[in-house]
Amino acid sequence: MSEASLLYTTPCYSPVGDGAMLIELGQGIDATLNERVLQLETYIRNLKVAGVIETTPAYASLLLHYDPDQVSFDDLQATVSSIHLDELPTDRKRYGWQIPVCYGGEYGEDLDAVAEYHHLTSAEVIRLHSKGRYRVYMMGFAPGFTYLGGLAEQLHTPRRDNPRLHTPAGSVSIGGMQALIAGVAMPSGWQLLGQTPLATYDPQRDPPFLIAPGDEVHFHPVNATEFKRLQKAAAKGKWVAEKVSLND
Amino acid sequence: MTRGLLVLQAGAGTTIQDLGRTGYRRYGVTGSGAMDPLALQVANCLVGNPFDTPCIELNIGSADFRVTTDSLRCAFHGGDFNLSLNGLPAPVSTSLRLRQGDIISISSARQRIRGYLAVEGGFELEPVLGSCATHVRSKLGGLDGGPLEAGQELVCLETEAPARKEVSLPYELHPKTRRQFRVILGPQADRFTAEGIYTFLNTTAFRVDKDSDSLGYRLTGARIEYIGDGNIVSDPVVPGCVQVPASGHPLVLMADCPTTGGYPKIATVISTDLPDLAQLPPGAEVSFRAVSLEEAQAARQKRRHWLAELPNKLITLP
Repeated sequence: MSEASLLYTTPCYSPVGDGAMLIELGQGIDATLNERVLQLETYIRNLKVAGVIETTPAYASLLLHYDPDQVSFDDLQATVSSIHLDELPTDRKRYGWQIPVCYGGEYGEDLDAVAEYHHLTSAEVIRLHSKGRYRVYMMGFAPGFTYLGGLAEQLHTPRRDNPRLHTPAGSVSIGGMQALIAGVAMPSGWQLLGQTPLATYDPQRDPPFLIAPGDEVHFHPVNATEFKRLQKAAAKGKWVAEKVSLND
Repeated sequence: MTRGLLVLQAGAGTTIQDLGRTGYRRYGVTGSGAMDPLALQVANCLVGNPFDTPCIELNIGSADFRVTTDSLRCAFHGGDFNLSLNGLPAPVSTSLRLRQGDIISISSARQRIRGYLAVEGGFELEPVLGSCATHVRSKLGGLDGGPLEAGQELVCLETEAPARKEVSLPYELHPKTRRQFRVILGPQADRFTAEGIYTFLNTTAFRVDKDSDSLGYRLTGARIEYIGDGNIVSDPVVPGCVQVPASGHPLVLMADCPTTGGYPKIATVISTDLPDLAQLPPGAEVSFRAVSLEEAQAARQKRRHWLAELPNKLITLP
């Protein structure tokens, strides 16, 4: 299937209850399609449409939360339909992030099992995971949960049969063809490869969120000593990840 | 020194809630807020607060508080909890002026399980990401992001409650238990067989499973037949969305639900009816009826007018 065929010719609009409109731009996991979702989101936010309260972008769709006392579903659909999707501004601000990860051991309890599953060494799994270039397709589920596409095919791994009841904030894991950074401690069935000292979400820090949907993520391995040092810095509000603009 | 309410005892899941958080869903932050936002607003109305003032939410369990300020005015509304003041029965859905040392006790509920204690002027709380709503899973809001515990003290913003005539909610405006819930079909109704949709709308008694909480209500009973492998690429969800996971048993998302989900959604419970669903305990029987978006929005508007008129409808006590 070519990339273009994932995009619908015209978006699909449907109500999600009486206060939200789902705009589906296509189906599947595809960078072009996902970028289009975020371009449309940025455009609608900049339009400041009366009655639109909030936007939730996902892989291939965008949810507009609206107040029906201020704008009707039909008027909102008409407004969005009149936007030329092929002419949306493409200069949306995007950033790249260099993120430290401590792999294996107590930080990534499934590293060895994932290596065994693929008949690789743990070092090869670390190399494959940390040389990847990942796109943030979505932040969802819980605060700071960063869903990444771009996992090397050799690392595609089914989720665990028995989900763990507790995985720490900062967990770096994989599930199926996706990779993930966890923003808060949660139960999880994903395979834990490591942990980052970076807090993708910290309500005490300004801004509380660093990474945004559409950004690019790179990982680099750090040892446990370095992890602990960075974790202390992060507790004081330091970012402990490098940020570069991708717009130049 | 002004203080307020000392928590003597609080049942599991007693939290500070308001009308929820807006603006951070794109980073994965759920709206959370009151399970029954209507009851929270009525409680606030009874003490003359802005309707979105943070209140104490009780979930099934009981709670006891001691007044540690000179005087305060409060009202408890929602659920079938019983109220007592210094060991004697006290009226619910009625404003009460309490004095220092008074002990207010709220019994546990059986048939309608969410209740709200509003205090005139509200509590001194630090909003996190624009709201005081507690989301325990992400340690957000309330007092330190967690449920209330014995020994904690909530500080009142009003130094005292001036004496005035108290008000009460007229009996005919008390909530009634709803068993049938209106839904708007979609957005993935096409991922279900015609029989699946028929089963969803014509099963007279789904049962609220014991494994239900503020994230979602699991319903047992009939299985909903879906098309394909029962997974979709994750898309945004809101409270009220009825997801159908591989088991075929529907899960109705509630106030604390995630922002996105990977299961197809057969329908969404309308915002006017969701608070009534949130009141039901495990074991309750429910059914669903499809309505148009127009009917759902008309119900929403009627509810808004009802709330706007509410201050004029309260009974002033002698």
